[in-house]
Amino acid sequence: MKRRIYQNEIEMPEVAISESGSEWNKTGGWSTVVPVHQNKRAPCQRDCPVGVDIPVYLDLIKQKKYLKAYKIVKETNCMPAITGRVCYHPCEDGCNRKVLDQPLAIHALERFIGDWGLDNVPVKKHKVDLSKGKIAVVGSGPAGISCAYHLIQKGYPITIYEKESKPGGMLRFGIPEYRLPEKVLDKELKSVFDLGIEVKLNCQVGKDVSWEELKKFGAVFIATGAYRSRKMNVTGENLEQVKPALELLIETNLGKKFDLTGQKVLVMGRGNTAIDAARTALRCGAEVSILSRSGQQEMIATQEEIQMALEEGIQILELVDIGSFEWIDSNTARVNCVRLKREVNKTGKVRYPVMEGSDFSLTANLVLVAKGQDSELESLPAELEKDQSQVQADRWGKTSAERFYAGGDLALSAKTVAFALGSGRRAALAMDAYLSKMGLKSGEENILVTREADLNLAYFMKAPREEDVLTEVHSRKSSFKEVNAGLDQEGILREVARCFSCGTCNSCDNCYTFCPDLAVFKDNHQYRVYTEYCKGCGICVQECPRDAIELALKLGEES
Amino acid sequence: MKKVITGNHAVAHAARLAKPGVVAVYPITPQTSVSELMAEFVAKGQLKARLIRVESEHSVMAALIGASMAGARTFTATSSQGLALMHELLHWAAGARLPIVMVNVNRSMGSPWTIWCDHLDSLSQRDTGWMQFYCESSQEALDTVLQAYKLSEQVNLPCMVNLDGFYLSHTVEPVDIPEQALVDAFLPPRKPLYKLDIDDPHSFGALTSPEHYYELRYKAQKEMESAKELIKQTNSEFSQIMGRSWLPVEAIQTKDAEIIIVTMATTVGTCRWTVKKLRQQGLKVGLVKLKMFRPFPAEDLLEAIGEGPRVVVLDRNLSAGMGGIIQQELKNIFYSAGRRNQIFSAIVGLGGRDITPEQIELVVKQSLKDMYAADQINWLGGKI
Repeated sequence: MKRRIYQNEIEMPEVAISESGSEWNKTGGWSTVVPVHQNKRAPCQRDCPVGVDIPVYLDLIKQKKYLKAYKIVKETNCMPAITGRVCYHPCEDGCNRKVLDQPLAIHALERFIGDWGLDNVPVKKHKVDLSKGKIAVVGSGPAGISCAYHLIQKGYPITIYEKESKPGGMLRFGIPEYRLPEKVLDKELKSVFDLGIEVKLNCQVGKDVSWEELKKFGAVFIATGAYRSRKMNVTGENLEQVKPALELLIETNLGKKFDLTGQKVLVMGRGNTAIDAARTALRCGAEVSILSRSGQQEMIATQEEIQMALEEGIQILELVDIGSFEWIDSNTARVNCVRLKREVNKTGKVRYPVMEGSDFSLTANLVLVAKGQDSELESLPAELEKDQSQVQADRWGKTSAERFYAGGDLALSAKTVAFALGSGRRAALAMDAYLSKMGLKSGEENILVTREADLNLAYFMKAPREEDVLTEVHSRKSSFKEVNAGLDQEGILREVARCFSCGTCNSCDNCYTFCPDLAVFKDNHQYRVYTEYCKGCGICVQECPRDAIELALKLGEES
Repeated sequence: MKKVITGNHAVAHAARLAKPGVVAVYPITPQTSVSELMAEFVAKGQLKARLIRVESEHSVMAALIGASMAGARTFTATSSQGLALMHELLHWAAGARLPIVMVNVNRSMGSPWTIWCDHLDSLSQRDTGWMQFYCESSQEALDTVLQAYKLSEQVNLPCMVNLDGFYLSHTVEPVDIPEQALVDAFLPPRKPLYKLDIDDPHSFGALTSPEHYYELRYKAQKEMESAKELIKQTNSEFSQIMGRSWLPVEAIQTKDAEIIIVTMATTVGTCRWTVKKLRQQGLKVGLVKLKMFRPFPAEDLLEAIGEGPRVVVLDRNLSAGMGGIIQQELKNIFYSAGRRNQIFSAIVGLGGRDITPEQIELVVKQSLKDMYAADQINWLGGKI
């Protein structure tokens, strides 16, 4: 830079201003660090068993770009209208928003976009490539459907084998109508099958088709679920008044109408099946109590479901176990119970030992047992390694047998719709890798998660969480109509506006606005940094509300 | 439209009518109601400006410097300690030649803590390179803010419009709030001398070597000098449109005066009344109102006072170790002009003590009778 000395005041400017531009002064040389726009993973996505890119689709809902939002959801989750209703939404547990007020109601937003998609997005049949290996999927529950959905998009011809006359598995038979209306289920499944998936109903593998036959397929995904209700192993369990809770749910879903008017029903269990069975029995006219080994707060069922059951008039007897059943008459059984204590050992593990001398008994016309389900393993191919209750499969669904993959309740200890969907998707990726002889990329390594401390909370205002609109309690008790009406359009927009978009740049312009050196610029809607001018002050990182920028050491700098 | 409003609201209306793009505010008594009304104007959409709430007066001025450099017309109001906190940035704003207009509601400096009026807060900023006006009435305050914008943007220097705390800031009187069209006819949009432009980046106010700093100060002085005449032209344009005139120096019954009171701000009003009373007693008393303090209107003052009469300066300030500030300035210009008028000095109204007609009458009579020496401070109204 040539230096100019003015000879007199007349040639001088009025203020001290550089004659040429200041761009020659490459201030970037002063710094050892440089900001990098780098999206992180939000806790909601981290905690989602399906891996839905939640902050991205929520941001698209904010912008009312519903089609784009729907497509993002459908990249990982083939049935958002269903999961929006029935998933236990672990995504909300880790939501960073709870430092400010309450976590985001992600389930309501997922349900909204799922319903919107079913109403507005036509399904186009997918082209399949017959030269690719054919795929067989055994079982049409969430895991099987998820696997089929992801593989047909890669062009594989797919056949689903379903032993029942209707598809859906536990979604259809295990979940009551008032939580998941059949209409929604049918629509959602149709939207997947219409992609060009062949579904063979009333076709049980091992009976109507042999497992040998299936070895002709390039790969097989087995997801036959877990329908065998666990026994309590107590005296009198085989009395006719004692039944598996799942049986009531399945038969009700098959259309059977139970009349339990005036009957006293006890439900033994503390998971969602127990709550579902209790609320179903209530709707059939019964007076219902749930016996839970734990306290109410420590039940496995979601607290929303528990609250709804309580509202409807179901009692929960906490810290109680059943010792035995006794015949009273053809319609009545005596239920001998004990009370339990809650104990926490040094490692924090909670146990429920029996309280000595606390025996008491109840009478019931029907006892529904919901102690969990195991899989029926006897009919599966012998070469699959199994333990007592499930098929052994790795994270990618790979079993001990060549070309056989397994997922859903058959292979998972966490038996939920979301885990089933995730296992189906991962198996699809693995099966594709196996058949195409390409490596398997998980794409999940080394992704940082945005924590509360990484956010700049000054940019967020408190706003209460939108609560689901529920049907009036009195009209719920005798009806199987859907209880939860979701949120209306305004509620959706208010709720989605609460999302912090943790770790996801949503072009708020803060980095661009605050940079004192104009070193942040926009290139085709993306922010970039002029490294030759950035002094590394970090203001952009500080002012990013959502942790989408990091300061990185420049090459050659020691940490 | 005439409305009965406080001085603070009068200047806020003036600022609204001047249509600044950026207003930065930080509250301090007795200025706060200016900021509040500005916020209200913006909230109601009556002023389309960016109103920035900041964490200190230092940041107020920093924000206005940035906004002004980006080409915006800017406004703020402050008082006393707040003004003092801005001090280093007052120098910067003037050095950067930014036509920022600021209302300062005069309040004495602490310690001890005080909220009442004297002029030491703004007079302490004498050498920062800001133009300074002092107002006698709320109408004058409103009109002066409008004139300040026009003057500042011609000479590219910042301007401080001063109002006596409480005497003016919180007292209601009828004020004519001009129509927007009239103000627009008087005050065109700002045309910045230089402007921050991201497509043509320059550095402003960067390290300047001894070869050039000196001349930049010379240029500012030249502009200050030209402002003395420009304000009269600006005032005459203003009076053609609005029908009101406010000269930098106003002479009242000075022609035949044997003694002339020189003072500023609301004290002028009290003096007007007292002069009338003393005239009735047959005393040949005159009054000179000093409206513009920077640039100092030497020529106008010399003309208004003339060669003969004694002068008594009522200083509502004290430069400890020297005395009243206006008195010093006046002696300075009289010496330069070779005049030998006797100039008496009285310190009045510190910390908001009332200045009464009786005190003014007393000091005039004492000065006429040589009851104290011209180089001695008359602690008028003091319990001394």
